[in-house]
Amino acid sequence: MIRFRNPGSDLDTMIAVLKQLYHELHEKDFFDNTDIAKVLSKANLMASSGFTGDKAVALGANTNKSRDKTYNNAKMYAEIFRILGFLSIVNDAASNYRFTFIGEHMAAAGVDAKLLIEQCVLGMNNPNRIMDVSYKESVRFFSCVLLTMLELDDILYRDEMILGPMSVNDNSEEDFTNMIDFIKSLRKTKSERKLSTELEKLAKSQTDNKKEGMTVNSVQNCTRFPISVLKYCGWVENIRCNIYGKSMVFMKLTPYGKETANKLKTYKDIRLEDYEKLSKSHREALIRLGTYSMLGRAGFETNVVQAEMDKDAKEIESITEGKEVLFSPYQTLDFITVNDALNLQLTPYTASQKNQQSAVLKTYAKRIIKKNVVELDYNTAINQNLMTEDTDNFIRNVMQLIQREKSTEQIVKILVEEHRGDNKGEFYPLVETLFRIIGVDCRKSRDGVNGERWDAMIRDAHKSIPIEIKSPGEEENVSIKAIRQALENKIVLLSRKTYITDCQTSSFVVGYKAPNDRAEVAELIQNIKETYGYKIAVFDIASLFLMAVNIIVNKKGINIEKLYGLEGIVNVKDIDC
Amino acid sequence: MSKILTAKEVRTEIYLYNTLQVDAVRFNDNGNILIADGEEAASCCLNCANPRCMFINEEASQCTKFHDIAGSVDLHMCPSRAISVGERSIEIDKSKCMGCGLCARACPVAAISVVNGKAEVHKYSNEKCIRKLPVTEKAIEEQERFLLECGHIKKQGMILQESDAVMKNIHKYVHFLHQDKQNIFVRNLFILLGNHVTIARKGNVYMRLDGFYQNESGYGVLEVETGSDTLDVARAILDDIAVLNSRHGISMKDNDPLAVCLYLPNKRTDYWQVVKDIKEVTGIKIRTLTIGALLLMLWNHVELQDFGSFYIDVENTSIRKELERIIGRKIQISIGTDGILESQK
Repeated sequence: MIRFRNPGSDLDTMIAVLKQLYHELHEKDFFDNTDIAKVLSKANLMASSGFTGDKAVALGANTNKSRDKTYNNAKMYAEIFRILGFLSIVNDAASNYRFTFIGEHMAAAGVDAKLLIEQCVLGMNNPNRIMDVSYKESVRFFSCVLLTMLELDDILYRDEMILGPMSVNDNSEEDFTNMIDFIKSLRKTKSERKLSTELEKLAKSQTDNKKEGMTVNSVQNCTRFPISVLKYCGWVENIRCNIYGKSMVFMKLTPYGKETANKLKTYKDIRLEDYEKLSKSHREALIRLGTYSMLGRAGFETNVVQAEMDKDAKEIESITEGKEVLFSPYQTLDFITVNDALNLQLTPYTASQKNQQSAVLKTYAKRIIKKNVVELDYNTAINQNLMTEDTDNFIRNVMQLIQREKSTEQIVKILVEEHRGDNKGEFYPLVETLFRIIGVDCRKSRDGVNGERWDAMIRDAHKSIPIEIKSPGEEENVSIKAIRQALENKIVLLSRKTYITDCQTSSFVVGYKAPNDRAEVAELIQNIKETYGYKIAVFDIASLFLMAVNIIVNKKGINIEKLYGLEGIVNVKDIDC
Repeated sequence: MSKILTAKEVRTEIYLYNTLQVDAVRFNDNGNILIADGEEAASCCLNCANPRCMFINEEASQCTKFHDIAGSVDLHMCPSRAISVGERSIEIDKSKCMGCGLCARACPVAAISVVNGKAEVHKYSNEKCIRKLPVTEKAIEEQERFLLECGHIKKQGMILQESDAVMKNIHKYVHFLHQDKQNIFVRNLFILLGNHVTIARKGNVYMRLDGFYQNESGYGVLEVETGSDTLDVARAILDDIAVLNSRHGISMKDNDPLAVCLYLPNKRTDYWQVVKDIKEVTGIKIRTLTIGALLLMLWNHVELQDFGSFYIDVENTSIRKELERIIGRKIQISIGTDGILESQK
């Protein structure tokens, strides 16, 4: 199955990136990923951690290239530009690039470069001499998608695209027909389950990074780039269809997509295997004709090369059968072969230039995540005044686990696992219970009370704390959204004075797991403190379990006074563990 | 390398008025009028080499107060990309056109009207006051000089007469635009009203703000909400302000935030009270505007560079009065229609 990386940018941005790279780097004999990263950051075309320019380079930099964000972003752009035929590798070095003749035209194209993009999209074909890929399909992918849609009532579902055009050898008429018949047979079942089963089967049969089998999600992620390209080119639009027993979003050919597909049927599609069978002069004629035909279709004036095109067309008439050629040399062959045929001269490479040109990215200090360790070293006991039926049940549960000779650590693990599937209905009362055992008067908000924006409140005569809760059913890891809500809770409480509090007292977030992007969440909490002066503290449920179990088992906990002023992502440390 | 081929020129001819001094343009129901030296002439598409109706001025999509943002590079004026260059005039694909009037406002000579919900181009038809020019560098320069002068001329009449049906029709289109295009649409509206606006490029998870605006009166963050999650807008603005204050040195007190919605939040949502809470506690005044209100100003040739009067909260959830003051007349949209000028329910 063909794998497309998800470049994370739209095609407009990619075109702007290419233009900027050309503006800055076209006079160089070659450039590398580091040069690309520098140019993009300087032109605000690439961001790292919300910064652009030098700050982005600084924050993204890492002495380990595989972890260097800006470098990897540049590498991703270079890969896409190579696939689209705008850049080529020179000097046999994996990351020494030059602009191709097509890339130069792309950079010179006006604001609207869509037609040339279309040609380069149609030019993508496999196998080729430019990319070393793990998949084996012989296919001109985008042409194959459009022609497939023509055969399938002009519509195609994402998963059908994976099972069809992404997994077919379209240079074999038999394979293409079999693929169409296969999708038609799937549609006849009217069963989404059947479609999913086939997709699971395909995913399992794939190898990714030398690992056997892929997940269905990873396979579906490979469709993001092609779907965005198909839409960008105006070939498809979304439509809801009920083909597999329920309404699903399909792609539908637009009139322009249909026109393009019908035109493709009239072209002579020439692939690498066909090229390799030709004589040297025929090969050169094909390279010239293929390149200039692409440019002509993309709206460039070919008058100046018309005589050459006519001569070449005549020379390879037996191969093209007099049809218009669909062959993109820079997306099929190596740079030097194409340039030689086009009679384009390059400045020779000298070793000394390498040192002059490679920019060096420095590694700068990373964002520091302040550790907020809470040590359970305070002698305390359960406050009987705060006990409820729920707290009694929880304590009983913990005591039973102790009797089964479980350690504090094991008990916490068991409890975390027990609540993995909780929704609001179970999770919010659990949080209330745990805080009450910890020693504060926590009460969850009643459903449907609009004015109480928080999910629970630690009530105190002077320092009440609003709590934003996210059950695992809502989100497994605490997100930025929860932090925003905690800030809003604090502001609303200070304004409406529903319970008494002050600016120095924290606002809490409790989730099932700590945030995925700890650095970003921690930094936002810090930003909020610097800007508004309010503290936000984030707990995962394991931390609350640890605090509660410790009080029950060891009569050790946190000094409640400290609790009111916590901030950041709280890391609870059991000193006995 | 050499031998770069030139792009084919789609235009076969461009046009220019014989006069260099245009006094005003007037939008009429039956064709727009250009007024020069006291004489009136029909407006027609000059097939500009640099068509303002198709692309925004790149400079206006950048804010000098906030460089550190990877802004959208999409400079198209039309959110549904219905406009293309033709041989003798620009062309409009009516199947894509949503009839918003952005292109009509952007055209310096009022050569585009909105008729029955679709933009229509007035094409050259041998008008005496207009001359044809070949597409040469010299002619393009001459045309550009003329268009720069036109940028300052007075515009009369309305681009589009508002009504409930007109607004509902445009809302329908905007609702179905992709979120990126909705943001671009809002950016272009603000730019045509005389502001600089940068819309953050998608995919940058650390730059969560939708955009940043700047004008003569100030600057601030911009959040766009076309669904019903308006409470999230207020939260997003607080996040934006904190990030800009701490990471980018844009002080909270100078940051005048703007929330742009498709519909004003319902009265019974807590948005309005939260906006008031935020003002009471932090001093931040979140201004709330609708896309419909921006369109009304656009169609009436308003230049809006001070959003201060659009602070509304639970005490008053209507922008009708303020908008009527700015436009200078009663607005012909029924009370509560699509939450454009006042909250529903």
